[in-house]
Amino acid sequence: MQTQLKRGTLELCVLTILCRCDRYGYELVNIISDCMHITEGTIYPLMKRLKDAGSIDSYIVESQEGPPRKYYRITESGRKIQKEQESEWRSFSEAINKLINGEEGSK
Amino acid sequence: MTYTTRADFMSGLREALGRNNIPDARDILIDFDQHFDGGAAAGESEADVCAKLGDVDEIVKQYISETDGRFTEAQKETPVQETVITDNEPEKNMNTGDFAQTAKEASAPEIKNERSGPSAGGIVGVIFMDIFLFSWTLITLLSLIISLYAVTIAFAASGIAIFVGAIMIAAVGAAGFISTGFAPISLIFCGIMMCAFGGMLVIASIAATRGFINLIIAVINLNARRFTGHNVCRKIGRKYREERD
Repeated sequence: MQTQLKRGTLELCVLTILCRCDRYGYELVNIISDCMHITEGTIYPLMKRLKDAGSIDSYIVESQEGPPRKYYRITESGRKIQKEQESEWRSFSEAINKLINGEEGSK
Repeated sequence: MTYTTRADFMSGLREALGRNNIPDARDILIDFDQHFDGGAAAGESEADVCAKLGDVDEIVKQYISETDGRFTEAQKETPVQETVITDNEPEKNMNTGDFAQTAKEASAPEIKNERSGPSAGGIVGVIFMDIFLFSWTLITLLSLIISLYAVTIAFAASGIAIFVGAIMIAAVGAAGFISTGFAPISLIFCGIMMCAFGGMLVIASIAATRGFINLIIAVINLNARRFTGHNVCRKIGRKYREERD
């Protein structure tokens, strides 16, 4: 998969995963890397941008077994952005699918 | 640059972040350190985690492109080297709590390894610091805190005394024995004001005590790490504390 295409959609992936429930970094990265081939280290810079923009947020949870874990959660503005991006993605991918399947103009 | 061990990866990343003046390097290092923790818990080898994370320089490049050149001068003035809290300055760490502790360990994995066992030099150093630095600092701080409590009690007690006195004067005045004018009212306000000031001092005293106890714990832990290789006390308020922002 092309890097540019992936980069553009990774934000939607991260926001969507966090919309369902809070995740810690390793978990989140693994959910994405299970679906597509990515360089895992590149997710963290993206998450930092999302955090700086106020779309996501983090908190620390002490763990009985191991070291404390930093969890990420989505903010209200992040939820809004996710919804916008999701509908954009759906209409975009529908259009591309139509084009690829040769359905353009045939209604 | 790619690495095969956690310690090399983390020090390579720290160095690259510092070289490029990336802001919030401490948070970034925590993310990656915790990623290694997650990998270890899932049974992945350090080499595997490193390979999947990819090239450190690529990661740092991405941080630069994600921040889109938005680094401010203020952020540039606090490069990563300053965020690493060194072992020699435990006072600096006194009130920053849980996160700074995690950051300290995250950003300085090799320092952590060095302090994993007692060493003769380290023990002599820490005893020297105990005698010539910590003891005097702590005694001075303790006496300052005791004075703060004394001032607090004095304010609160005199406030209450003035308040009660004013009410008694008002009662005498109301009974018609003497003419008191507006004196009781101004005295009552004066009493309330002093009590309020005393209240603020109580909050300040509690904060100061808490900071002082954390400082003592930091000193105890510094000693404990030198002798036994690990911390023995937890700081107050560490549990479930949210991140600074």
